[in-house]
Amino acid sequence: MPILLLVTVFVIATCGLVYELVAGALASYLLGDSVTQFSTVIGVYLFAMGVGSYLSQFVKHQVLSVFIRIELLIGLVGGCSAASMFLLFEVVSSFRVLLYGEVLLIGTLVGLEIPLLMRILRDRYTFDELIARVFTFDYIGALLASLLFPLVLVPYLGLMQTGFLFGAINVAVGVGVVLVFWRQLPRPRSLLWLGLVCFAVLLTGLALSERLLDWSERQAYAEPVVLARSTPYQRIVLTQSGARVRLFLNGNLQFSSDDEYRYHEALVHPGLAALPQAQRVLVLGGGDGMAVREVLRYPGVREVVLVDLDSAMTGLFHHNRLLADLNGGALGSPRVRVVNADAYQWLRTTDARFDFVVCDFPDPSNFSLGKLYSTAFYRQLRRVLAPGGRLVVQSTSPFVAPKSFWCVVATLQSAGLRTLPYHVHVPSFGEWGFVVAGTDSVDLPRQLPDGLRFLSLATLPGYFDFPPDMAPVPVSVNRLNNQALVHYFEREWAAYSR
Amino acid sequence: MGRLQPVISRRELLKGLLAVGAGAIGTALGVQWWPRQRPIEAQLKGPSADRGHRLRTGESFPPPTRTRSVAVAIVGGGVAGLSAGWWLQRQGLTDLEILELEPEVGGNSRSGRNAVSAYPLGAHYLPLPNPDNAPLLTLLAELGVITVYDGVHPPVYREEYLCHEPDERLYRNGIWQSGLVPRLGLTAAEKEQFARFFGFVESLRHTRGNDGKYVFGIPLDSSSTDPQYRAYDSISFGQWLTDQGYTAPALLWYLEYCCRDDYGATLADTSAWAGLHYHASRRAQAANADPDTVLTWPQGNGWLIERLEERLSGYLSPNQLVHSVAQTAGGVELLCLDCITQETVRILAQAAIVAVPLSVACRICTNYPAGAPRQVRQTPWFVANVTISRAPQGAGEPLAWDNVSYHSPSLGYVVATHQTLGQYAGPTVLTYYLPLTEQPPTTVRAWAQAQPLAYWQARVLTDLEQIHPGIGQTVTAFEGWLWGHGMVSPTPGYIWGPERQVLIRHTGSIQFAHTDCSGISIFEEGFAQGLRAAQHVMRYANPA
Repeated sequence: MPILLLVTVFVIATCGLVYELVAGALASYLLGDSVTQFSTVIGVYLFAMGVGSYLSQFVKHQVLSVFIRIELLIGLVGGCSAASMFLLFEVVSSFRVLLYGEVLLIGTLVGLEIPLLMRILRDRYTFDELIARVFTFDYIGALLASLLFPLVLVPYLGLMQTGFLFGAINVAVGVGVVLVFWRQLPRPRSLLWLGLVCFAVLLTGLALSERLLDWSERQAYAEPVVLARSTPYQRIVLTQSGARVRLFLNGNLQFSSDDEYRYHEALVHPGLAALPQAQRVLVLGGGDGMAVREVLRYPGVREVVLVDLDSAMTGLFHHNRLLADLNGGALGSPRVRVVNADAYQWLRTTDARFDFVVCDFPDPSNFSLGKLYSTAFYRQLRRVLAPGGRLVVQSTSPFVAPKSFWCVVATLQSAGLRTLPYHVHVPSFGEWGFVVAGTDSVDLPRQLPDGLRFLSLATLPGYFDFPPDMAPVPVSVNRLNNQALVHYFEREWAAYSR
Repeated sequence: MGRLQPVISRRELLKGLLAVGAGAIGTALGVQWWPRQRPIEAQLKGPSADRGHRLRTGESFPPPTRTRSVAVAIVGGGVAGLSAGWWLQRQGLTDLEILELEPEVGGNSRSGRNAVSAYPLGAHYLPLPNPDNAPLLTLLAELGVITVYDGVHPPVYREEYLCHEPDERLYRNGIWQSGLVPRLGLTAAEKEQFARFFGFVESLRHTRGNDGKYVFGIPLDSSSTDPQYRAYDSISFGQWLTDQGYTAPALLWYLEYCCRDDYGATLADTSAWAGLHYHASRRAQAANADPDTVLTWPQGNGWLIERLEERLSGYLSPNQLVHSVAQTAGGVELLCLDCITQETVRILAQAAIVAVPLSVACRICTNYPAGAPRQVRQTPWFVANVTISRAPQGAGEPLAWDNVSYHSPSLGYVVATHQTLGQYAGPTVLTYYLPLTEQPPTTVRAWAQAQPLAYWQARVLTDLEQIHPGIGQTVTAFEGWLWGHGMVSPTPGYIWGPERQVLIRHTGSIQFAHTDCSGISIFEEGFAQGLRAAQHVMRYANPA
């Protein structure tokens, strides 16, 4: 029986240190500055243990029973600490109050453990034996925890799961003590039930960790998340507040239903409205179907091919009622053919020719995306243009990233295309740029489709004027072998968001 | 007080510590084994050493059962042999046969392929050729690598084949930096030495000797004969660097990296002429690329081999062990063992190009020129193609095509899917290069050939774990390739010594073509040797 209690010391020491490390690591993750976080968490934790030790003197009776209750409580509070901090991070106004509150509580409870245990054991050992044994096992447990935590627990299990697992182990120890000391405990049955309930709660938490993490991520968005899905290519998150729907891909805003019409009207019509004979249109990227919706305003267009990498994206915007309403059911139109393929790969293999091509790719924020803005890519685009055909490229903000914007223009020109750059104001994005290009000279449309909410023939010419703060700058051409655009883009947006 | 006793016995303490250890190991193993992965598909391969080594044992081959004739026989289907064949068929000489020992042609430029990607087994890139290397520019134009080439303006290269940005990164002191030249964390003295060295080679690059030729040309036989510069060949690069006061560890690391990369040799084993040639011989021009850009493909130079193979498909005979090449009154007689049927055929040719390593050429040629090299220093290489389920990243610069660790004895790895167009984040193949330069080639070769697959797998993965912790978890396949005789190393005196000149100046209907004949094993040299030999044998070959 003494052996069991020493094993208990060992386990609770391990668990105690794990809680401390979880809190320290979490604070580093969420607040940054790991030296400060670890230092303050450890300090508060040790102080709280002192408080617990002090408080232990007020436990006068039923020490064993109190010890077991404390074990169960530590298991529950410590076990849920990581999960509660993750989940409440976005909700609470001051995360530090929560953090140090939990650390204080756990530390106090852990501080109670050893003194109580020593009092339980005091009749079984001499005083010097007792001190030596208890602290030996205490420190060995701490060593195990400090090794397991960085080497095994964090990399293979994750913080939230580690918390739940060690909470469950802590509770299991309490339950074990109940069973062994059954006869010496008053009302052991109720203690046992209490222990089993705690155990079940922690195991449920462990099983649901993945989902809890998912839920906590949703709190990162300002508005209620109505849909979140991970695909092999991206994380799609949709938020809704009243009538406003916003789409985020990998955390980046793609559109807000408030003003997306400005972006999509500006993307499609200046180019397409100038081609009254256009029959076949290709949309690359733009799986949300909004650009397709604008293209379908032209009765002369007989076929629209939408090439988007992510079938989950086009599937959602075709079948989800809320989303299909946003694009007017564009993806269900008999004139539309959806191809789920890599735009570059698909383009290299197609023999089809198009009168108008829309490039609605994400901004060139990495080297993979940068390839979709290269001379090599634009030469492929040129190949699929029917005689007299045009293309349009969404080309980031000429205000925030003028070099990036004019680099797209220069790259299109280098691929042998004539260009006509323009810009509009989209409140969600700010000043946004586009480039129409074609093998022949590119001119403005003389008419626009009916029913537009933003573009008008009267305001159109102004969009092709670039004021001095967005005027052309000398830039390199973006090639696969220099990725000049990604370098510009990184620098300009980093400077802007600093 | 009773007698003093240790309150915890040593045994108890040990038990406690043992419990901790067992607990830690048990948990670690449990976690490792629980989400059990599919076992790694591993294999160890290499060129057919048993076939080639039959020449060494002096065994007698079966007598010829049949005889056939051909205008030009080319022994060896590496870059030199294929280039010779390409040139000959371009000149209209189509009565030719290329006899290759291996099941596949390509030599050091061979490549492999699995479900994830094609990948190189050896040579993996070609730098943009110098403007005066017209034959190579012509080949590249023919293959569509150059789209516009008029011989006057800088050529326009097909952008897809130019190595995409980011091309190189270096892992040093915990962070990836761009490029292979160490730049971060250098002392002022180190920076000064880098600047001095690069300034020196930059001026050498544009220096011409007393004969008006560039000091360092490609192919190297186009270099100036000026004795002032050829003298560099008489000392080692390491010695030259010491003499010039270059001591910065980062600079010496970089220069040794370059020597091991191109020559499979350390600074001490590389001639100073060759060491400088690496840095001062490139003067490429391109309309749409920087001069230091390289051409690459998923399968490395295997792509060039495949294109040459397409053009020569009717002339290739794989699995042929040529064990005798003899000058006869009417031309050349070759005895050739078919490794599949074990039948020897006599081939009567008007001329022959022996495009094999010189250590083989001197065994099979009965009239091997007196004074020509017989023992060429050939470093063994180990190349591993490691298939992983997702590309590794690391702190600092993002994954590049060529990824090198300052702290590793390897040359790092190239990413086979780097040239993929479009959005690609799936599994990939890393080609890991390890020239075995720690001991003399003969010693290390015997040792390397005795090592089992498990040794190489552990060595490569342990090394990769140093720069990408956890990468082992993502490995799905491992293909090791041991090049027993990897490539020629230009030891001091080899390039401009008398032995090599015997082969270059050799006349007659048997010609030798191999990078061993240059002393530098790069595509351009193999190509140039092949063309030199082809041009020479043309005068002996009269297609009837």
